[in-house]
Amino acid sequence: MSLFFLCLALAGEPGLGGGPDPRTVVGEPVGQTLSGDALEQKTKEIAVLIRCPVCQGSSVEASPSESARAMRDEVKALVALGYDRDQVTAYFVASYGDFILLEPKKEGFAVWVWLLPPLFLTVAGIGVALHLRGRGLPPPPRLPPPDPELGDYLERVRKETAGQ
Amino acid sequence: MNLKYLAVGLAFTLPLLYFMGRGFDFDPHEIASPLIGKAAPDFRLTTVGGGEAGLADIKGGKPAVVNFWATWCVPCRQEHPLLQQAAQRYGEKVQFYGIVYQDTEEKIRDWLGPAGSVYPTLVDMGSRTAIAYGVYGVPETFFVDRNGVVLDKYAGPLPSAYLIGMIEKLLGAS
Repeated sequence: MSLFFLCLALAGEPGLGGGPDPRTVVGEPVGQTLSGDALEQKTKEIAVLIRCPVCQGSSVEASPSESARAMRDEVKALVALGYDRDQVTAYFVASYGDFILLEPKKEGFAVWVWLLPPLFLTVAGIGVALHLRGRGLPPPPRLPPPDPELGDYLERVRKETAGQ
Repeated sequence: MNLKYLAVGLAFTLPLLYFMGRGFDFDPHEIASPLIGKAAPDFRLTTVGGGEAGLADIKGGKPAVVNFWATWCVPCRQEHPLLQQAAQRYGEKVQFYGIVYQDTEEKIRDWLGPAGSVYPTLVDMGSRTAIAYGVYGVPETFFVDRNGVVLDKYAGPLPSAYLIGMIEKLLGAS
């Protein structure tokens, strides 16, 4: 039996050679048990959302560190049991806090992380637009007054170039 | 200087500087555990000696000190004698557990030597228990009261006065 399937068996058996029973944290799995390619795909989808705690801004999917690998295996074990995305992320948040999610939640104080950049851009855009409108179009460049001494010469040039 | 431009510039930059300034006040490595005040995750793991031990064994009875450590972690090796001494002194009233993080049983046995440990040393296969406790790195120590609720967590090598203070607090808490 591979280590992974051993872990799976242990995950389903609270109190046997392993850690806590996930049911005590996030309840019964709401989805179907998964295996094979579907399990791999779903694990990947969720593992990219979870921060590797010993890395700088990378997910447990991207990091080769041992901690990240263990957490990815935990994601896989939970997904295999039928836990969905929200349940798996909630399981990690319960022990690590919101910091473990790579993307801040769109609720509470963290909602400002999502709102402020577009708000700043909008306000700045309006400011720039108002500023440009207030200034209006730039005036045409001023030409120097015609030199009276050049009058005859200019008249000759106009006549010679009139037909062209 | 155009005061209007200065005012607009300050309106944008002052809030940003405020949040940046607040960011300097906290260490990202000192994130408070969300488990504090909640039930400690249960575990039942194999001991280096060959038996089994778990938190459920003592629930409702003794408080517990749960220390995550590894032989490859120098600060863990430094704090180990302190935990052993504390366990010798308080072991009858407080249950100590050493959960070994990302290490092999052979290395643990070698490092502990023939005398072993005063308290159970547990092997956490796949780091499942460490993940359930939200362990970022080692050493990390959790203090669990006799009702199984996490009273506090300490990241890094334990200062002696803090450890003794927490044990006294565990013994005082009903």
